[in-house]
Amino acid sequence: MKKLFNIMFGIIIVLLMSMVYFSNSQLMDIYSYRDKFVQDAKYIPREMTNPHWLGDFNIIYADFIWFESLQYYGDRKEKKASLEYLSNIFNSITNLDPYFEQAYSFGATLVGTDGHNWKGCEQLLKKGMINLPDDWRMPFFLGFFNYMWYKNYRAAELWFKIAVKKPGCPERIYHFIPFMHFRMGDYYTGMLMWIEIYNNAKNEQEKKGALQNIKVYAKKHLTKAIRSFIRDKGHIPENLYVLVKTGYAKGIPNLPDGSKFYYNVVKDSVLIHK
Amino acid sequence: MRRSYYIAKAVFLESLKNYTLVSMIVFGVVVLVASLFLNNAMLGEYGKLVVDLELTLPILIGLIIIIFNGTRLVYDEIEKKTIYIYASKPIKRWEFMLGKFLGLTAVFLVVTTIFAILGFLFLMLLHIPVKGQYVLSLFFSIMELMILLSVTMFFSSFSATPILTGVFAFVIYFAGHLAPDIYQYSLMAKNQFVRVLVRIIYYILPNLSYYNITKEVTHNISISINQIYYVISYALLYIVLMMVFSILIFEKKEF
Amino acid sequence: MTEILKAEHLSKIYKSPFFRINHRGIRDVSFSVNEGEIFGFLGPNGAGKTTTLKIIVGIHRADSGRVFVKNIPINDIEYKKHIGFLPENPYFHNYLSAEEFLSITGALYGLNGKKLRERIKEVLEKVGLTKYELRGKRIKNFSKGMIQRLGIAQAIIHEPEIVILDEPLSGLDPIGRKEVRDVILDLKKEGKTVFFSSHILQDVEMICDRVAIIADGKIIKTGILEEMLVKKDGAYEVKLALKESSSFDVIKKFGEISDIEGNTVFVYVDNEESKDKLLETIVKDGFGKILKVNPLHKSLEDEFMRLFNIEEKNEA
Repeated sequence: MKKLFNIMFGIIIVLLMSMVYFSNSQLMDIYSYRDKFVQDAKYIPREMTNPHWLGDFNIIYADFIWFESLQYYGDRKEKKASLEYLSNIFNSITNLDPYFEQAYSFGATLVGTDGHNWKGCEQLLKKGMINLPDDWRMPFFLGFFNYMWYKNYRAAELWFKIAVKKPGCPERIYHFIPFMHFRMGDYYTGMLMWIEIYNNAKNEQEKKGALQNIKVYAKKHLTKAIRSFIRDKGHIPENLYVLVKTGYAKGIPNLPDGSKFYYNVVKDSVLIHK
Repeated sequence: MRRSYYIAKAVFLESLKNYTLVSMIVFGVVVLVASLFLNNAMLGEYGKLVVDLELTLPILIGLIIIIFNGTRLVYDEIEKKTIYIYASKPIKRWEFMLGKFLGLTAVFLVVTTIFAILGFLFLMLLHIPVKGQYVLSLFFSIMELMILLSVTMFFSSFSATPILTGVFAFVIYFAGHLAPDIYQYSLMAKNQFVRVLVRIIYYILPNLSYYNITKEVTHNISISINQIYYVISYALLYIVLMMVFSILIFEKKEF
Repeated sequence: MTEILKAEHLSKIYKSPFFRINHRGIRDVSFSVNEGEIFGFLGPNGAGKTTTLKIIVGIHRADSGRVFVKNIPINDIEYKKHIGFLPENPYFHNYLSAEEFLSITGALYGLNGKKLRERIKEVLEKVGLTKYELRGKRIKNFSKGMIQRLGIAQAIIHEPEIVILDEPLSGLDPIGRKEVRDVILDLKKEGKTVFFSSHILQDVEMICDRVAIIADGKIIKTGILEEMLVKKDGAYEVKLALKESSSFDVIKKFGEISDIEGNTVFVYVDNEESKDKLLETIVKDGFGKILKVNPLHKSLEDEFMRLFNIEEKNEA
């Protein structure tokens, strides 16, 4: 009986030892990646993403992570290290404090520009729009990044249009919308928008700027129409109204200051005179 | 009632003369002053840090008071036999318990007032407008602390040691804040038994997440009158129930 | 003599919450205290003194029996206005000063304002706390004697008719005991009734008018102290300092030598006559000095032990 017990005991010991060895070798495998992970993982407080765990202190903890994130950003930037986990940090901050506006806008900027994480940037801003539906910055930044990085002018224009409708949005944001049309090649719509801006302008400075833009857009619009007309028909249009009739131009704009359009055949450009 | 007031006065005086409370307040003030220098790092949301600290420091200090003083409130009286002095005086036991409760509530009120005034001064210094919602948030946090104190007193009326009561209070605090998640879980659980059990737990626990309106307040999200009314009546109901239970147990107790 | 405090058939048994084993308690305790006397409640540790006091004071509820003060039953809140209580080894709020503590306890009896302040001064004077520097001093820093005095002060702040003290003299140094004893005697002079418990016989012997002796949860005997003390006439203990040890033989004629320490000798003498002769011989013949002559009483202690022995025999 005693012998049997001893044998059993020995087998159990051997089994245990081997288990420890194998689990250890697995652990070793994990630890070989340790150096790679530890730097980034340190800054991802995954457990803290549910704000309720922290009682009343979620806000103050969000502030702490905010400071930490700034430090992390500066530190990694200096070392020229990867910033791919930056979006996680700002995600945690905004989980803890869903109304922290700077964490969305500033955070998304950092995530996009330095982290090169377009998707994370977009997600962060969309989350901001859900949590802060009355803030103009989230749609504006989303539009701006669409324009800057994706060159997706249609999406950008849509986001700008949303931003403009939010309360407290600066007037200057309006100017982005015609500009997006300009970039898309739809000069006429852009120009109509500039005319609207001109009509609603409150001071002389703004009016002057708007008029200048109108002229630029109008020129572009007409030049484009005339060039395509010549390319298709092989001759110069008799007058500008022919362009509208044949569908090459959407319309001939009436300039607010009463100027008229001329076409210089030699220079192949549209002129504006009074 | 008047006799409860004198017991409350004793608790209040003793807490104020205790160095721990004073040192905690000093610590809080130091943190608040330090936040002024960190304010520029908030990038555009100036004053957020000051407001956040102003609104959360009273809760932190209140929690420490509950865990270190609130759990010993009745226990010490029994353990050190101070209760004999009060029991021989013409005071009823429920008046004694009520007095203890009101005494610590007065301490919460004083701590909160100190931080409110300091915080508002700092905000004026930074030229940031002071909003009435801050006062509402502070009021809510006092109610939260009162609920937690009543739960603590309930536990301490039958728990063996103050440490155990302290652990209870600590767990209840965080579990109370997790109440919305518990509710969500009760909706999602597949097993019918688990679902009912979790729902019962949800109704028993104090839903402290109602009282955390710090983030709404710091970012000017409006709070409806209905919510305020509901939250106040919830607190009153919970406190009264807890106090009635703890008094019933305390009445039966022999020292 | 009118009865001020009356306890009738008090019983209390402590039950263990888990095993339902009955613990120590008291069984059928009855006694009454007359107005203006000092009543001693005497018994060994664990006899049920404190339990009885707790029931009288209203900290515990008795299983059966009734208590009256001036014919007011105990469950009336008026009852507690007539009694003042000092618990055993009292402990007060650490961080309050004596005045603050007294003002709170006084306020519980409905005293307030100027009257309360005057009363506090008066009481502090009475218990002899005014000779210490009290201003701003916390109770935490009080000595044991000071705490005991403060305890008495809070017990008499509302001028109760009967003051109940639980072991007021235990744990004090001789001077402290003397002072607390004086306070108790002063209370008696004022016409207050004092009811106090003790396990120390000397204290009871010194100041009590009547005593009740309790052992094992039962009152063994109640009576006037003088009647309990039976003098054994004529027995003396004489302490001598002798010059020579050879004089032992001379002394042995008069009485027994009970103890020798160097040249100091304790002699037990049976009667007064031989005591006189012994002293005379020593003075006349110059054997040595007389240090002390001590008459021997049969004290309360002996009575106590005797009662105990009877009790044990009965049980057996």
